[in-house]
Amino acid sequence: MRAPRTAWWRRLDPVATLVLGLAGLILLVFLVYPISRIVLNSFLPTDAPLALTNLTLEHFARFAASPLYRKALVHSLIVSLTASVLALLIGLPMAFFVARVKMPGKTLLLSLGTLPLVVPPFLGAYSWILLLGRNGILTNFIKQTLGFHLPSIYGAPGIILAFTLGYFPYVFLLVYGALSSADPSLEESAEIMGGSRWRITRTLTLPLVTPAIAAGMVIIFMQSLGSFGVPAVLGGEYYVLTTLIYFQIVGHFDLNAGGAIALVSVAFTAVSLYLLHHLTERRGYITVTGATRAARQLEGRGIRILAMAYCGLVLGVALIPQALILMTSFAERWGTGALPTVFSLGNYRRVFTSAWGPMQNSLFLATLATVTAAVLGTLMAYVAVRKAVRGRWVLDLTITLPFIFPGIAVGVAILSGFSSGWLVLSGTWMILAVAYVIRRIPYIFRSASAALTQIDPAMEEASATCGASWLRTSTRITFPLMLPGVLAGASITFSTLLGELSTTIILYSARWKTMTVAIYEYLLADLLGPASALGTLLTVAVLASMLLANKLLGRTLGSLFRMV
Amino acid sequence: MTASLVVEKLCKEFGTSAERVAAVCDVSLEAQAGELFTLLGPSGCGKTTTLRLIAGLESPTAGRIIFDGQDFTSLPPFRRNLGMVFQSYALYPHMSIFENVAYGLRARRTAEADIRRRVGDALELVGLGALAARRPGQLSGGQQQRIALARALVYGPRLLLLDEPLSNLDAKLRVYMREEIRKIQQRAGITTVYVTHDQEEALSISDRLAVIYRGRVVQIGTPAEVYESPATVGVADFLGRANFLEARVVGTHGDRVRVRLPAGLDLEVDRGDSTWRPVPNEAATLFIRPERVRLGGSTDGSAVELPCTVQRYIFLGGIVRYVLDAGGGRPVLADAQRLLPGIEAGKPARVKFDLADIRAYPGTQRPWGEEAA
Repeated sequence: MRAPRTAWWRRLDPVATLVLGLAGLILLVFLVYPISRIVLNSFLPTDAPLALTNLTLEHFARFAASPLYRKALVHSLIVSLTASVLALLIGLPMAFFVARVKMPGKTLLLSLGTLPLVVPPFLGAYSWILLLGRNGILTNFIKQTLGFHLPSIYGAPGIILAFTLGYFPYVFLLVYGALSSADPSLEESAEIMGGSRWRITRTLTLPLVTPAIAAGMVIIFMQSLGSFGVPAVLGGEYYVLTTLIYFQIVGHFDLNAGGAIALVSVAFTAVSLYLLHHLTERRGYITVTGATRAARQLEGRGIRILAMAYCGLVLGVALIPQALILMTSFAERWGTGALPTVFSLGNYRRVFTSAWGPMQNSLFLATLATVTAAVLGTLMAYVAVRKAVRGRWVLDLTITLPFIFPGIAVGVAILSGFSSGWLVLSGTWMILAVAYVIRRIPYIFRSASAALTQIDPAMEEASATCGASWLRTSTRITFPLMLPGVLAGASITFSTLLGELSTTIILYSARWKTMTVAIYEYLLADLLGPASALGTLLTVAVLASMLLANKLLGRTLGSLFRMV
Repeated sequence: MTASLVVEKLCKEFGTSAERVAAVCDVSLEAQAGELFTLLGPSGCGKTTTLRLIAGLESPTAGRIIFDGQDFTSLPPFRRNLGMVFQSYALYPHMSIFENVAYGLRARRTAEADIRRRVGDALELVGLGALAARRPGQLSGGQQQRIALARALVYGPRLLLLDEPLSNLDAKLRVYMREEIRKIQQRAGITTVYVTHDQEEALSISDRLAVIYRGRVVQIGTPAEVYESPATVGVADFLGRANFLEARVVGTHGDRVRVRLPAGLDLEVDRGDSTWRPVPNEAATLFIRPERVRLGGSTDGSAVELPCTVQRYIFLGGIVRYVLDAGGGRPVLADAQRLLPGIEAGKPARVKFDLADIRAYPGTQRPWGEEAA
């Protein structure tokens, strides 16, 4: 006796269908459409209407013909690759030391180590000018005492310095995470079998953390390639892809040319992500299972002193920008010496009157986008993890595409899509909100689905057998249990949106300026005091939101970043 | 007594339309009102899937489930008014013990005063009244298990489903808890379906049980019936220890079959598999439990006696298991209550059986563990 086949539409899960439909619609309108526009536009001559006969490769050909284009591409690759390698060299020893050497204050080290990621990198970039620029504190000091001219900070050296010190925590935190979650009995068994410490490190420990190293380096490469603020502040005439995009769009109003450059940048990101995926897939790394106990710590006197000195030095240097910004924000007057002579709250008073609007805008946009992304991302994660439905690839795509697109490329795509045509959003707050939500849904999706995978499906089944309907089960059991994961993702989202510049710089309008744009404008006008004051306020807001999330979740700052 | 739960020709296939795997195939069974009915089988046999189908957590590909005359087949789980205890207990970490137990009552919109009283009663029933304010994480495994039971019983369901409820407990607690569960089930008088892969648990707790293998019901009966007269060599081997002797069919005699052992001894024994129609010269497998095998130095006039060599013995505390070479391919096991004087490794001895303890099966049947996967 076979059950009669039910009609296909009766077998559809209403919730899954609704969420998938909604996700599909949002994806189509705000992701597929703008990205198709940017792809099409980049094959169109400047200001030409869309027609098959118009299609051209002229924007891409400029990478061969124009020295400016060629240099920008080469510069982008040089600074991003160099920064990834240097960040690895700095972050890897630190991860080993913190994970494996007995020393005090590890929690503090981990929190301080996260700080550079929390503070928008272009803020840090400017403080290197304060320190090492033509008229910088250290430059002058060395000139006066040693009579020696430091090489210029502008161009590649400064950008690489800012990227390396701003992004090395990715390597540090990821590798630390892998090291501290690896089962110590693996290394212990190798030791019992007679492996020397060096052999064990080479053959066991390093391969175990290779995926983390690779992931960290790819993240840094992608972040560097997509960063607008740092090269904009430190580049001068040293163009990279992002500043070239900005130059084409804001300087020449040439969306099509900007789109083509953005696509080239996306190609590099996609390749690096593919390589990462390939590396971790093919080598068949087993996911490191949770460690049942902590690994044995090295206690030798020499190694402990070395470890503490190293971590102190790295963090000391990496946090110089933050310290400098804090100091500058209170500086009223600079004398002839290296340090300010008069301190006051003047800068703060000034930004509270002149930058009050951007502050409100930033808070409004970040809050709105975080809440929207949290709701959508959670629903998508729920369907993706719990419902076996066809069409899930739609969700996977929604989640992957914004990852591949650097911030400025998302900005260009959204601008291409909604500056003309059937839906005009440019100049409104909505265009920023849309871009923010699209870019940040993946953060929520990832942490929410990670949380959901951890939840035993029997929890929900038990609820159903107790007589609870689907609605009651999801509101009383599933979503409350997912909440910590969603909150973690939301706090990262909120923090990074407050400090967002790469997308914003393409999409903001006079009425809808954000704090980061205001800071950028202060910097361009050489108004260091207000820029630093606003930067400090931004840092405080970001830290406050992350500390609040930590408080709610009972986790450390570092663990929030590990899943990104 | 009337059948309370009726499962009719239940099938469940998983996978895509191209590649379908039947997890449950033509399963039919009936549980009486107030009965504790166990689904027993090795892991992956389909017993949990059957239970989940009864709960409504999976929907069957074919077949029907009827409870007290009501067709359950297409009813969602929350409309079936049943209680279920999960292997992982599935207690809600974000709720207190009280709220965990009250969950089903709240879903039924019970009045607050009523909830208070009934949760209190349920916690008393499982002996954990003092823990109402705690969180699940603060409880031991055995306590969590009892809370899960209280949560499943508090709203007075008509059917209780238990999915390997004891598998996460240590051995001593497992024995204690299975008696507790049995007592509570008896007191509540609730029809219960119990899933386990542990044959001792199944034998000790059940009124009746169904042995399931590869998605099909192999045998249904009381624990004694299934243990003493297993329907197949596989069931015999799965429920406790078993000796298998190779033999050849000589003829039939009514319901009994006459077989010849390689040593030349002719025996007339019961068929274990009632569907078997033995023909002369066909291979047969004889089965006898080790505790029904006696061991001695000399003949004493038992029905069956075979000479053997003692290979070794395994001291297990309560029993001593002798491993003997009786000439067949496999060693014969004999369980004695104590070390037997004069029975030593390497020495000859005699094994003895009663004909009533022996069952014969077709020679083609193999224990499940030895079947090609």
